[in-house]
Amino acid sequence: MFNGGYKGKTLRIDLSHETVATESLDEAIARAYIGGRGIGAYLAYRELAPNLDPFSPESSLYFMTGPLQGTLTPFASKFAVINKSPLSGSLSRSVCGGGGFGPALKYAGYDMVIIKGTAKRPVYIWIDDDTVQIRDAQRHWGKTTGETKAAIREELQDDSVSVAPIGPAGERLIRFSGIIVDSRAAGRGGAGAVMGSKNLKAIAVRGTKNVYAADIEEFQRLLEDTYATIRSNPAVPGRIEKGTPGTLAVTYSTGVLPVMNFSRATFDDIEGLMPETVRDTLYIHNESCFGCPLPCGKAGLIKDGPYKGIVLPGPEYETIGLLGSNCGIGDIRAVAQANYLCNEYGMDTISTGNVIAFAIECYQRGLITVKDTDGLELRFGDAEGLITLIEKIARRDGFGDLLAEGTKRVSEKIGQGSEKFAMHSKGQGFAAYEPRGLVGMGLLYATSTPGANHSFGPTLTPERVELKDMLTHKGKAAMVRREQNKYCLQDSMIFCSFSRFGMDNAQRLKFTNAVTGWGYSNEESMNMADRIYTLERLFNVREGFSKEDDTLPWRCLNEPMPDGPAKGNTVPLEQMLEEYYKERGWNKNGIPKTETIRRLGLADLVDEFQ
Amino acid sequence: MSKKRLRVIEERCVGCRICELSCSMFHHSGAFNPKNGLIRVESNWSFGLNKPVLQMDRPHICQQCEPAPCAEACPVDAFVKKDDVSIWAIDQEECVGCQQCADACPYDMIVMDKEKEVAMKCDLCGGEPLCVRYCPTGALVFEE
Repeated sequence: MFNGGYKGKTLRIDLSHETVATESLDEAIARAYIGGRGIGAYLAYRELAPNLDPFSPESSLYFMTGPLQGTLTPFASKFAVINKSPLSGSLSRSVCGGGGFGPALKYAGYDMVIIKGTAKRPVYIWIDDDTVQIRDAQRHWGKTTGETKAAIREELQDDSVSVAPIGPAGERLIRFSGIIVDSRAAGRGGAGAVMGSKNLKAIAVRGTKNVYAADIEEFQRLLEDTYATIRSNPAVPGRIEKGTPGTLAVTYSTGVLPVMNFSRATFDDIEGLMPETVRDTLYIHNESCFGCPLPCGKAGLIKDGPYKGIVLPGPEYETIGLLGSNCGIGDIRAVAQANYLCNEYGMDTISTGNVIAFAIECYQRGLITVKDTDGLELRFGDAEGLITLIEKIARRDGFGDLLAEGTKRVSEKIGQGSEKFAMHSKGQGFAAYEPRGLVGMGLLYATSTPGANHSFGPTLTPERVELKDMLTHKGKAAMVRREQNKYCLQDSMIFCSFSRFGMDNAQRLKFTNAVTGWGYSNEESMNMADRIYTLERLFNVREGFSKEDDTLPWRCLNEPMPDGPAKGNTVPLEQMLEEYYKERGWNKNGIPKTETIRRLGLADLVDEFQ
Repeated sequence: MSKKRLRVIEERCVGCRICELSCSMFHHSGAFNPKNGLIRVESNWSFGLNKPVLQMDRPHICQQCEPAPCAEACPVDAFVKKDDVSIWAIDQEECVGCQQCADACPYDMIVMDKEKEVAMKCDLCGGEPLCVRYCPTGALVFEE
């Protein structure tokens, strides 16, 4: 029996058989894995057979909430999507704060929605409290994400309905396509393509039920605490004023911002991407996710130039890094337009910028020519070329059809040693942090469950401020494990990573305890994080992953950084990996040891599948 | 008698809906759903060429009208004047759930409680509105 937070109910939808069923959430599982990413990993391990094609009907897609969603807990707007990644073949999770979608699922009465099967024709799912329908979506197929949301709301005659759609990119199985909820994306890990493979255009939710906290008095005390912390945090006004693009001033000055396919750290046109320029050029309005007291989101307007008059979501830091400097673009208006197109087509901006920059370097080195690129001359800094390539990828048109497969597969196709500078790990493209300038991030990229995803425990602040060492291996293994675990818990309770502006690990746990009434200790929670992380690892091991996949491209390991503050540095991965595996209780080949599996309470689960 | 009034500074609203959630928490004994809110935020976000850029987020509040059409429409005199905050409130013991107040409200700010089958309106939380307390941007103010 759940006292608060959880609704205790799971919604299972099979699109092949057109069935809708509910089942009870097992309290023991909820206590062991909390929710979100944790329960998602547990279910995926149990339910996704080894070596399953991510696009097959048997491949399930998990839309997860945690115990906090729907309450007034600050920074708890998000939901998590868990799926087998069509980019890497590993487990993937993506979190997304858009549209109040996670809270809406709770208000409709569900902790999670699990979707398997493939619909015979395009459909969308309409969850209206207890009434769940699989509805025809043929007339919505082909629409952009914004058009889909508007059309479904019109069809349902309710503008308050929360809609999580895919765009044409997801329909065409572009491997880095995402689910776009308002101005936010469950972008990485290809969940949009998995939805597309199921002929599922969108999920729409309306919920009129209530969510409760087990101890509302304690909850209100915590609320007062956290609001006071936010009000007195000197970093908050800057975050609100500049949004995540504020980070760029730090990463550029420390040699961490990627430039031209991670080939260098200095960029002549950097002024055009600086936080103040982004703010002054674009911002017209601040936006918060549902229930969030820190409005870091921005609405932008392009006021002049070729994209004049477009109202769009302000690009986030990662987007500016990958579609901007990494493609040699220093005009924020072009980056914003590229971001807008990616959102409308439903593609991850990070992976898009990553694969385009890779293609440009291949072209510059003569590994591909105009014969391969449909006549396009590829060069860094070509804004028009960037927009053209995004359009071609979204349509899988000509050269775009190849790029739609993601950096790893493009590099395998092009061959000729191009894998040396194909900037991905396990098939997931690097985010906007150059590992040679921030070596702990290199370890994070190499060891994170889905590959190079910064949001599994970003190391910029721990390395720069805490360790005051961004360039050596010292202390990085323990720090990466700690950060990965922190994010593991955050993603399972489901807090936004920006909850750090108002709370620490202990406060997050206090909120979880007040809402669930369960009284987790700090020690118990750390054990839980290790359990979840190692379970994700076991999923990957079962898929055949091992140490040789925990790697970085040749460039990071062998080509010294040519310029900037990290000049001359490479990533000492091998040293860090050895320590990291020890930290985790995994063997030298990166496989969790039996004693670790036992200690973390995973033995029964693993035995079941051996 | 307090002359404080709830006021909206619209351009500061960021659409977080914390006001709706805190209102729900206060008026429904700790239950959360923004649809319970006796304050309402309308968000008009759409992206693309020449989309509107004004009034992207707009809080709607009870105007505490005087004379009050809701109170005048009530057939059972369930509306009582709270002199301490100088506004009309609904005595839920008296309310028969006929919805005539909701029909009469020109701002659509009366919310029907489905479980109890009674009407609810903003009562400024008895003088210390929670929406104002938790509004992170100062879009809601309570002052003379």
